Amino acid sequence: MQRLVGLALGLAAAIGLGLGSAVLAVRSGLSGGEVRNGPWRTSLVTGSLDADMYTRARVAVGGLLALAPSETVYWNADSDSEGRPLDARCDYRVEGSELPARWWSITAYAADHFLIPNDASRYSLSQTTLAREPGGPWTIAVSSEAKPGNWLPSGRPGNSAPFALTIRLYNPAPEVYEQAGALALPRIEREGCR
Amino acid sequence: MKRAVGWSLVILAGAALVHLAAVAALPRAIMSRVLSGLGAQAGENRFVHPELATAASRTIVRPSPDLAYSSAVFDVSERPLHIVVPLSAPYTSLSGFAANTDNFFAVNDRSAGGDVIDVVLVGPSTPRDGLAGLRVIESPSDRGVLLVRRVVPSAEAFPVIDAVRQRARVELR
Repeated sequence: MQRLVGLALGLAAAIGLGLGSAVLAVRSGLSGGEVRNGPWRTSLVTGSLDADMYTRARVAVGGLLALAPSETVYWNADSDSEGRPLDARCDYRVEGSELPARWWSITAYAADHFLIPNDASRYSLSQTTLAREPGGPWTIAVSSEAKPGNWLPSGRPGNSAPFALTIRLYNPAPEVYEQAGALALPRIEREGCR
Repeated sequence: MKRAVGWSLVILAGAALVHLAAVAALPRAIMSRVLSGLGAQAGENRFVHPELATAASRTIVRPSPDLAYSSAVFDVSERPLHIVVPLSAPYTSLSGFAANTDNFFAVNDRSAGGDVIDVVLVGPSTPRDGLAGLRVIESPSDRGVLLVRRVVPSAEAFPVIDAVRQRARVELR
């Protein structure tokens, strides 16, 4: 009897440890082909046949049906340029210039990886919807409170909630692969918190 | 003492096996749920054209609100699937995702070679008769997902793009 109990406990411990470590590995970003650039991260093997099993698992959880980098590169940021986690109770200024792709956009996502509910029903800004001089630099105000100009809502006013920004580069220029770590990506500056 | 060390090693080895099995199985498990969800909307081998993504969209994680999607669950276990996708500016692509989530092909408006994307999809079990001269795409699995992405550059452009996407067709040969 004592032996059976021991076996059951051992089995439970192995399953618990195995599942727990799997969840941690998938959530913590253990994957091949990952490139960091300031607060932005991407995987150059996302969706591709070369992806390792951790990358596949991460993409299945947070980016299912993502295209391979030859078609689209996805840059994700869940912190500002100083490394502080993005939080909907704070205001951010995102500054950038034309990105090297046929078409690009910046979208805000909640921690559950879905679009963030907001009264303006605005979820992204893109190459074609950003207000700016043609081909010139641009600034986006990311905030839970309405701002004039290029405003991207980060949540309902008054709520503290983590969120993330995603840049999509459709048909990226070769430099996006060849110099991914040195690519001129937007800065994310925190302006203040409520 | 020796026995305790032995038990610990057995537990760690078991945990490693469970860890690897869980990470390896997760993509197929999630994809299986998506195939069921999309299949329930329109069945297999048929495009559905959802509205532009909003905060209420919950089928696929990280949807792009700037894209008009068309999706279809494919099953080519018995016959090839003929896919015809008319193009819209400024960007259209057709991509395929295998049962393990791999993006095994993508064709866009630049690589289409004409006014439409016109391909035939086959899988490991599909009979290959009568496909000579056609643009054949090989899927690593018999079932999976087809996804058409169309950039919607402004809200005003959506009605025209929507009319084009409704003409996308899939048909078993």
